[in-house]
Amino acid sequence: MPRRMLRLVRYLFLSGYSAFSLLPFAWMLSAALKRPQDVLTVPIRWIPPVWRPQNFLQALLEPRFAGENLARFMANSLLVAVATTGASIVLSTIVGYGFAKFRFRHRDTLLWVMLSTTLLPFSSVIIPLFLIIRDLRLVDSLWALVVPFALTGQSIFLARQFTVTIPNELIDAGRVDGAGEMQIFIRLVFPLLGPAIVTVGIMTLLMSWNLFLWPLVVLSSQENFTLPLGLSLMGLGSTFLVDYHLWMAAATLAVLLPLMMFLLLERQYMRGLEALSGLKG
Amino acid sequence: MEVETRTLGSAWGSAVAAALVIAALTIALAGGWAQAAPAQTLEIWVHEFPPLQDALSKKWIPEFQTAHPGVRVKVTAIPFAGVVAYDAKLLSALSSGAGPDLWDMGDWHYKVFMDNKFLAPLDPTIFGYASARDMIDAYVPGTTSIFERDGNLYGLFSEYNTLALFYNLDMFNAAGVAPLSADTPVSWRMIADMAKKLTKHDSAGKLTQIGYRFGFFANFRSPQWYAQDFYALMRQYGQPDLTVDGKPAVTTKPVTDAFKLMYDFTWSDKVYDPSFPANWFADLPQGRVAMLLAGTWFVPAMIPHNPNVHFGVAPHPVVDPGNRSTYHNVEWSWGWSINANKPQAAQRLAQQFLAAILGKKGETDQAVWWFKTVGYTHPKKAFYQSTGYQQELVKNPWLRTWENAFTTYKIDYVTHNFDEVGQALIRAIDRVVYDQTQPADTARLLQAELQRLLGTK
Amino acid sequence: MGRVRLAYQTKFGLLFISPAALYFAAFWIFPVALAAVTSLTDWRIGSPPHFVGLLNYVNLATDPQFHHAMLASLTITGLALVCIVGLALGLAVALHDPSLRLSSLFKLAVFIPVVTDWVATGLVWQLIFLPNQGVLAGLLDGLGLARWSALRWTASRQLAPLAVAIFIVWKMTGFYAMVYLAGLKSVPREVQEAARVDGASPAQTLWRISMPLLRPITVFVVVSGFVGVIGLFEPIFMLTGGGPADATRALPIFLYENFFQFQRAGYASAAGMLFLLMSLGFALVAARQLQYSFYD
Repeated sequence: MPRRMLRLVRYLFLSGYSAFSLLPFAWMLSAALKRPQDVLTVPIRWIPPVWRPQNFLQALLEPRFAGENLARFMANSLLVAVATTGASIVLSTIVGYGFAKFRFRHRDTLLWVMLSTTLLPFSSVIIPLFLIIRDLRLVDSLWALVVPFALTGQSIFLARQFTVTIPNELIDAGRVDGAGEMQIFIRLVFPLLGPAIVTVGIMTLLMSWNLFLWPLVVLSSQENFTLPLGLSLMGLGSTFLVDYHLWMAAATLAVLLPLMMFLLLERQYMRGLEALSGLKG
Repeated sequence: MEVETRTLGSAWGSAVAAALVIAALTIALAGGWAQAAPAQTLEIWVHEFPPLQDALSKKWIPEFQTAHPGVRVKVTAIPFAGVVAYDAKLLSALSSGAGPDLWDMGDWHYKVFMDNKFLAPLDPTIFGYASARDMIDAYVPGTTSIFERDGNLYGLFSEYNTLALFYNLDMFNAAGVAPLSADTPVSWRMIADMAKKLTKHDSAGKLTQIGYRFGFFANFRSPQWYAQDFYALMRQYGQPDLTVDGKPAVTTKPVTDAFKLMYDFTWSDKVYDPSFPANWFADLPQGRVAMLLAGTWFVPAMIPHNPNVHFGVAPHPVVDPGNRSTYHNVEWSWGWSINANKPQAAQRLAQQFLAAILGKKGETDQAVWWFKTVGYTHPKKAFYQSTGYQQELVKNPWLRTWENAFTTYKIDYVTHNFDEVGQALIRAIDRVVYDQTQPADTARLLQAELQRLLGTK
Repeated sequence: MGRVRLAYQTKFGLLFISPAALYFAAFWIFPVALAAVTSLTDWRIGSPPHFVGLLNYVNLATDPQFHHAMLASLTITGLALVCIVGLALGLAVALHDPSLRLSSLFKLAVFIPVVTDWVATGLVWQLIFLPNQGVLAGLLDGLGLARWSALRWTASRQLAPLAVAIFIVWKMTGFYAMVYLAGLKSVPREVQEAARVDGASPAQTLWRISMPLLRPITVFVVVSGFVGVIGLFEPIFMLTGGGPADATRALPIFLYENFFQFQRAGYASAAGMLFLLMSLGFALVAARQLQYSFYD
């Protein structure tokens, strides 16, 4: 097979798929900058005939959700995401350390079992989880969004993978010096877990920011709504208001944070992904 | 994986980690603290309906808060169409002892909620009445039955309504269709024929305006509206409910005829398109839909953004205008109710709020305001006799059509909309209007589903 | 190491992992137990529960709605998975070339849908699939295929599962492409070099050497992809809400409706248990594959 043909096919395939992948975002941005009557024109006009950047401000600040606006939802999402990430970093590294540097019976089985829970569909356990949260009177609070996700099989596994590489001599030296186990962790191990912290952090942040089903089930007051939940109040089938341009402006704002965080910390995120697929890099 | 022990350096690493933890904890704590409640809070839930939401947040709540310093009233609006329902949230919250202090809900919930003792009886004295009987008598006889149990009222009207046909006069004129009579209903066949002239496509064959819209269109698929549109038809064809003697009976002629009408409108006459998405209150005035059925609140919702609309109101179409037994229409109510599981102080506040927005004995200003601004009617005898209402009748002659419906038609509540039977009906209708399933086939499938549902209860 | 050492390690090891044990108990073991118990009752929210044994399971087995849910789930998942695995592998192979220009840009383009959320992108895809006026309709019009632009993607029983599957494929393929890419990269250079030296063409190297080594990853992708897709609620919720009729009323929607809309806690819990057991089987297989690949 001629090399050049192969190369052409390769580039065509990649360009084609990339276009498919990015087209919805391009259209979303273009629609977000249009007047309502220009959004769904046929034929499609990718460049807005009349630019409306004020759509973003309107989508963000207009109190169209029973007195609340999208900015409020974003603030809620941020609060929840940061709290979850902070808690996750602390808890995952502790647990990961336990799995990585200590030997005890059934250790690997336990880790393996915890990892398999990651692969279970969340929607299959929301019913009992909801009943529990309801009986704890935590329904409709932002805490209910933080606590269940502050520690996941995924974050534990990641932390563990990173922690394994820390030299045992360091830990043994600490023991020889007479330091307590927790002290060893805090003073010697944790400072070296930079990559683990960032990777677990970025993955948890994005996961928490994008949560939808759980907040849908748990929250009822619109003042507590997170961003995806707020977005779901727009769109076909959910409302009798049809402001396509505002929907797209809101959607653009919603994907902004994950996109930015991802671009900033792409390397660390990908490292996490590689670790999760169980490969030594 | 390579060993990267010095990537961040020990001091830098700890500092970042510590900062993150502290920040997270601080923000979380601050967030929790900020959610602490002020002196006394009254929590209200309403279904998503901007005129109602605005009525509360712009008029009634500020007035109440001024009259009761130290009280903060919070209203939450919850969408009630789609897979996630206001109803589900309500039931779920109330059954766990939580939920709002005061809320509005559709008539279809009252039996279950009363059975479960979620509702507090309204205190007649707070409303200025001597007794519950006195309060009930203030309303048109029979209308409050849905809220009554053992002599008490467990809810009071937010809205009481029936359906009338609204149509765009300008579109009619442009298409050369004569305006409809405001007194005599026309047949569905006539509606379909008129709608054909009012349905237009552009040069590319795309739909630009449709003649008729059922209430369950692309972006507002509400079980309440599926049921309302269907039950009226089914009753006009001669069957009062989906069940007869407690047994599912949907393969009967009346029910299949009702499906057939929807089928014909969508696929034979092509005057209805369920996928034509748009804005319910904007489409008719802006010339995308020529006719639809709605309640009195349609006008105040439509006018503010479209003050120049020329519309007409006709009675609900019937199967056979010459046969009075086909004159059936539906009624529905939305009622305000109070949470029986909240502390007495909260309940009392809720009752006071309700008395403030609905009016005490003899007061009609509130009812008149609700009618003028939102289009909601409260069937209070005093309201119909009030000068405010009489003035509205003079200003809006179309109101006569709506008023007459109560005497011209046999009006009943719908029995199933949000429950499983209602969902099965929705699926049956979807099969017809989206999938072009034949009426007999969809009826057969519905029969099987209902037999399952009602057999396993 | 002596026995003392092991006891010491055990004590502190367990101490350090205790948060995980707590979490696991609170958010997996206890809920599953609760679901199991609830599934044996006829509990409806608002009424007292009664023990009914396996009645819910029997009813589920004969419930056409549940059958529709399974069918919808399998249809959507099957369609999506076939495309995801094929595309992901193809993308990984295409990207796995050191001489590829713009490779980081391609990788970014491919991966971006993965980091965004289902709702925001769902809003966009609603408008993409809108008949006659939507983006897809516009593109088809532009290509001269106007007849196709009237297709009711989300409103037709035949096309709705496909529409949902397309959305899912668009969103998730990038993730699995990167997994495959990592796998391809982990094929030791020496092996590839040896194959080249022996005269094997790049295609042969790929087929004979790399692919067999990728088997564990493929199993992982297929199995975790299956569980991941079948458990998705958001794409269906955003695009069709389960309709029209039952075309896309998949298991997560079925669970959600039965519990939150019809308040049938017992029945929904039984369905949830079945769903969980089915996924558990698949998840264990996938995790075992992972176990093969990691070692101390």
